[in-house]
Amino acid sequence: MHIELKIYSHLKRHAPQGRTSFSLDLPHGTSVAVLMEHLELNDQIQKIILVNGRPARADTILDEGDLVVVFPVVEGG
Amino acid sequence: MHGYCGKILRVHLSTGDIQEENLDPQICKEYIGGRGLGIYYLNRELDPNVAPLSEDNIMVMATGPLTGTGAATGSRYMVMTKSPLTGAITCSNSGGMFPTHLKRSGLDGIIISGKAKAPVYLWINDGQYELRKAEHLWGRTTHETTDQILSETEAKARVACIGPAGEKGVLFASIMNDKDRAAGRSGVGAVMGSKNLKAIAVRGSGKISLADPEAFKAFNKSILDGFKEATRETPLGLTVNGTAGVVVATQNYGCLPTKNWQQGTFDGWEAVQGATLTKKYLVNNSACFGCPVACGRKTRVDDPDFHGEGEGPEYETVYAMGPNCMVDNLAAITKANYICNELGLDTISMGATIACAMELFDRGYLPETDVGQKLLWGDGHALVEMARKTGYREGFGDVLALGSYRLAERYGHPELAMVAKKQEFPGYEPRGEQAMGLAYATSPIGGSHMRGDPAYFELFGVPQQVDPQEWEGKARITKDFQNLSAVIDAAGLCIFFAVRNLAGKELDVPPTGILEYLNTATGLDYSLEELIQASERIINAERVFLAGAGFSRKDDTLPARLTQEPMPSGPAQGLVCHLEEMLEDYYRIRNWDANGKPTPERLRELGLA
Repeated sequence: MHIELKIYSHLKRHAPQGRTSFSLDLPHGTSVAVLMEHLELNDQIQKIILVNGRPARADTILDEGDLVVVFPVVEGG
Repeated sequence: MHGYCGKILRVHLSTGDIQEENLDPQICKEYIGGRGLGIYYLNRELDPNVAPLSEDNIMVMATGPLTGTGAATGSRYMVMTKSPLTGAITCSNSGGMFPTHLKRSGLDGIIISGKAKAPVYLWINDGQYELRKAEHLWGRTTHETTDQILSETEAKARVACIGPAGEKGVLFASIMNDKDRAAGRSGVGAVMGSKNLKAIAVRGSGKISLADPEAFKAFNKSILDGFKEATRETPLGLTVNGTAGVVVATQNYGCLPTKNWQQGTFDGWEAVQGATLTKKYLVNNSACFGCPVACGRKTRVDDPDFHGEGEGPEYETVYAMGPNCMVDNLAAITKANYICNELGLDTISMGATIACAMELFDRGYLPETDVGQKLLWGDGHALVEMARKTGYREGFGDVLALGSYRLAERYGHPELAMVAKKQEFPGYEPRGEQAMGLAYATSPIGGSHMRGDPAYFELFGVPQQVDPQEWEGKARITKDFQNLSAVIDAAGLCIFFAVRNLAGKELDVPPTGILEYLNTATGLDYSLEELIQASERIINAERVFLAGAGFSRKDDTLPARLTQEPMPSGPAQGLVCHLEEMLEDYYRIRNWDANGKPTPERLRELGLA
């Protein structure tokens, strides 16, 4: 299963070669929690995770072609 | 009294009379302060149908009981009057140091009435009051005015003033304090200008009495220690990149208003986001009094075309002048921000009005001969020039000065004004963020996110993440966030700290931390229910004023672009904002009638009838 990823700001250090955009091939049925574990983005690291532009939960199951975006917590405005 | 000074100042500009007046402790308990005191006095003393720029309008500047006490982010004051932009009330809120000095001078607030015969400024020096001539300041920028007044009064004083925009009645003129902090929205600067009041300078060195200083200090320490601990390993995004850090969120949710709200994503977003601002232009952070966050941006631009130094841009400025105008040049956006600060203009309404003009131009409705130049999407030079012309009401700036609704109406296309109650929206797209649409439509000041900020639960995951694209169930959460914002605004705190750190983690965001602060500061012994009741009283009292001014359900609206035209692309593609459905729920939950008016029963419960 092919997944597109974008990781922003200082969380990029968890991406291969620190790139913002990359893709991964993962087993079918992979959850967001397993993906985060794979990227070593543990629960202590505060972050927002979107799958196809909508907020994801740890147990959200990924599908072929999904776009996963991860960025640090922001607020204000 | 504790927490409060127990005193407001009446300034009658027509006669030059200045009088102190005692605050009623019962009113303090019922309305808290700040925004609450503002609406209390407006309802008591102002005809809701008054012409906003006439001398019969009054302006209330009110601090809260926590302003200047040392409570974390207790730095805010509120400017309330009848708005020349919307015809509704204003709730223009600002921080910095001026509000703390005002409070420490011995005043909870100032009520300004009438009109001076010639320009004046008010000098408040620790309990001494004087109206001074200001003809020599008329026409000067906010920075020049501040420097000149400090040289005439006290170097340690703090100044709130208007620029040329307020003098010339730009309908979205701001009041700037400490040079670059803005009571920005709804044209409060134009009201001040219409009264020939150029500035208020204040020196306050007194102490604020606290009901239980030991308990207050202990609680304050626990809050500040908790903040320090939470940000020890990873600093808060707000501290690192300022509010402009929000661009990464709105872009990726498909909620970044672009091209006058024709799109929800912007290809050039990385060039204008907070991290880019930090890297290219940040000199250092700045903090308001008592704030551990320091989200303010002192910046400098060396680009010869857009050279300058000042503060900003904030997220809202970036949205309004950047993606909304298709400008991906951060130097141009920052320069336009500096001009707005110096001339005294609200950056949101300025940027959004220019974006509206660009769409009118693009569609051939606005002739080049009227503008005096082309007004093309993405033109950073035009952005800067239009802001400058608006501040001085030069050429086409005289039309832009009326805001986007009157501009679009003049050229026959009011549907292209992205406003609620004629006030321009901040940078969150309700098609991809449903509760924000309800918040815009029901805010007492029109298009604003700050009277209950759904971006917290829809985009930022605070206190919990709620799907931004769903509309069901949003009315109740929006109502609870609006109530929380009323407590924050009345207490004198900053929403950017208080939502995360001073409210419960449940979705109904009970103001538990603020309760602790208020009770130890004031001794008024609020229960949580009484505090929430006070927030409802404030919101219903505002609604009473609006009803008197002719507002009803017909005004709780959004442009058809947001409710009828599906988002064309991006993560929110195909969606519209379900305002009508949410509004039904919302009125019912508020116990307002089908026309959006508080029921007599509700008003009686709140002591408003």
